[in-house]
Amino acid sequence: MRYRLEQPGFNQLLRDADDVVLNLPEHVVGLEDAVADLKMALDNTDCSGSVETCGADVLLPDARATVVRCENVVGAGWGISEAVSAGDESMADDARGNAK
Amino acid sequence: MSIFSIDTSGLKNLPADTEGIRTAARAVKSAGQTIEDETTSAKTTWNGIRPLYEGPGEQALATSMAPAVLDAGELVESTTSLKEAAFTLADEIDDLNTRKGTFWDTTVPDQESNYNDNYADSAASRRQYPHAKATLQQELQRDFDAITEDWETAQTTFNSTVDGIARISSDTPAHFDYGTNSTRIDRAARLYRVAMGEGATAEDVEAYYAYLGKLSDQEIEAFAATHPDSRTAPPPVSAEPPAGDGYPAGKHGADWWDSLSTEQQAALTAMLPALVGNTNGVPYSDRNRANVTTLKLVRNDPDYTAEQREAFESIAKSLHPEEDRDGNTVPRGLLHFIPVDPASQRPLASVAVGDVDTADNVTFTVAGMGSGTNNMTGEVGNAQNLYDGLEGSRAVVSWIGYDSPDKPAWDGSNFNGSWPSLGSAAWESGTNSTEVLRSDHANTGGTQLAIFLDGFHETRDHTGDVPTVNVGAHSYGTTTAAVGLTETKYDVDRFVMYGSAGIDPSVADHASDFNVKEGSDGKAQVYATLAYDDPWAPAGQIGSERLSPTAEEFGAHVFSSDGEGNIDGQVGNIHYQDSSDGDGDWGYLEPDSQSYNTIDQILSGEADAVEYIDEARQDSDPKRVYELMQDAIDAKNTTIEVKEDVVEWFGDRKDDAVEAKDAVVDWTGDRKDDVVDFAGEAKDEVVDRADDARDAAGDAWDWAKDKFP
Repeated sequence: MRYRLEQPGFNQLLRDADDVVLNLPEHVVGLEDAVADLKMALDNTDCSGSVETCGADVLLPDARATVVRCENVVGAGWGISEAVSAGDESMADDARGNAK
Repeated sequence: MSIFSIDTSGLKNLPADTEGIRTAARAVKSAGQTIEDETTSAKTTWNGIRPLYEGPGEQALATSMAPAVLDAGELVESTTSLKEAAFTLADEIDDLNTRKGTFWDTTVPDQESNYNDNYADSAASRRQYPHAKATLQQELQRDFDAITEDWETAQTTFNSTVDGIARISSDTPAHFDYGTNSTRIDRAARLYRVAMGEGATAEDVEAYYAYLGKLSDQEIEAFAATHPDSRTAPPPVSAEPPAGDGYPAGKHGADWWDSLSTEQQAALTAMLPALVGNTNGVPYSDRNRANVTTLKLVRNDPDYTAEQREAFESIAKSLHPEEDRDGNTVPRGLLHFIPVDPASQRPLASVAVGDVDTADNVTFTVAGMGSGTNNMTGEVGNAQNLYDGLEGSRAVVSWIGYDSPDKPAWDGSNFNGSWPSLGSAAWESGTNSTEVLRSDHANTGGTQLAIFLDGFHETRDHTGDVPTVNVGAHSYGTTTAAVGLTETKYDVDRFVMYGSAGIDPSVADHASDFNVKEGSDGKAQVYATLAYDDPWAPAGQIGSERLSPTAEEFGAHVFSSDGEGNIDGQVGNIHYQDSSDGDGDWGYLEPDSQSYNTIDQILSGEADAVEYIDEARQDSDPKRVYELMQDAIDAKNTTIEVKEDVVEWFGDRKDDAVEAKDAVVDWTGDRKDDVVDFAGEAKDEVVDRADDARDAAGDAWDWAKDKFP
């Protein structure tokens, strides 16, 4: 099966996805800041440690993994676009295989 | 100060206020929700991929965003759990603070009153109840300790709940040079590759420009240093119709340039000079600096071909300023420079004589067949001639922004009584060809000219002073400029054609078709001349079947190059703009020629003082050779028409034959139907007769039985 891209529309879709996905790390920073604020609000209590651990070991790794998954999908799209444009279908196959 | 001594250390870390906890907890949940919302938004966008992509694993690729959305949903569950735990804790804290307040505001004062009223009002009481105070204090301490224990329980419960929040995803390695796995320089490089790729759109180019605007001057330097192609090969200016509406049009480029810091502008000019030098909207003084830098880069690069390097040297030489007639040194500027035109592999450039950022009167010249940057010195020399003839604040730009057609070998001057057929050796020899008879070069170049002119208009409009704009075109340059001046968004003031190779009738068949302003006579300010002894222009017009702009029906203001009218000057006798060999020939832009003097008058705004003619002599009294050429073209067209008639006649006969065949088939069919009908009727008759015979035999049998029982 050969690749067929409607290149202008495909690239526009990737740009639209870029606008969202490339801003996701900023939202992860927002989560990181919010967790730090909660820890600070509980700073003198015995609860701040658990909040810090939850943020560092659970919430932020989950959030970052989500971001990387999205980036891998859109990154694969760009890889396919560039590879198909260059006529390199094996490179497009590699990109598609890594979209996960 | 109470009379009782209570140990309050167990509540010393009890927050007095919970608003900060609640605010931060809400923010945690909100941040998780935002990530889910944005991930869902990305998936919604991604869902649009289905009609755009067909290939291996298209279904899997289309749904590949779904796992991220599921993970984000789980993340919201986790942040919600943390928020709810924090709110529960805050509620507990508020309750404990209330109880603590009640303890100090009510319980302790009540106990103090009790003690004072009942146990401390007399020595007898004190002797009778020596441990009353201690007992009362223990009661109070127990009350307070109960609050402390509940605070410890609340914290333990919170920690237990929060510790129970577990990861729901596993770490995934980043596979691409993208996002968190990419540097800003990598991203710029990717956008550059996309903008340079086949099928790149205006949006692709705009995305590259926009991202460059986000890079620091150090990042720009790093990008250029690691991606050297980007230094000398600018992304194409999008040619979406109308021509000037692609990206970057002048207004886009001006806004983009203004949005940059001084440091970014300096870094881009030095490190990405081809981009800055070819961006409409950037001031031409900045573009000149950038293009000169590009020129230095390519002149020192041995990878370019000998022909390209020859053009680079001619461009460099053409930038040397010369003195005008008054002895003033006139600056020259490299307004645009593309080292390698992707279509023709030739360098393209525009050189200005004078300051186009400030001049009140700017003329763009468009050269014709056989022109190119390999002769930039000659082209700019012609521009200098025009500049010298004008007065005041002015500039003249030699625009070589397209791949002009090569020159055919035959020019009619060696006519020997028969007109050579197209494609014959008489027309083509060596690198020469019949390209000039086609319009494809003009169509491509015209669009680029329109973009350039509109870019100039918007660049100057950005600074608030659009000057008078003229276009002067020679030979095939008139064919090209004609296309451009039907595609521009903004009207130019004047359009002057000299030695035209003809106007494609599908582009314009009248001077009023051009985007040129009207003059005081109510007609478009379109001017044209043709020297009777110009051997090329009529050949180009007739051979291509393009229109002569000096013919009366075209509607231009026609001025003479043959000595007619009121403007003095030498009669033109060659096709070229100037006669570099100095053998007494007079070209169209040769100072002191009648053509040059008239063009000078027109471009100076004194066109009304010129005495025009109905049409050029060549149009009303063509030379014998061009009559023969026209006859040959007419004969060819007649032959084509006859051939078409013959084809049509044979077509009609074929149709007749088909109709006759159909009639025979119909008649035969009818006869067949008749036979079938007759046979059917005959069969019915036979059956009837058979039935009669059977009835008769029955009757006979019955008679016989009666007769001989």
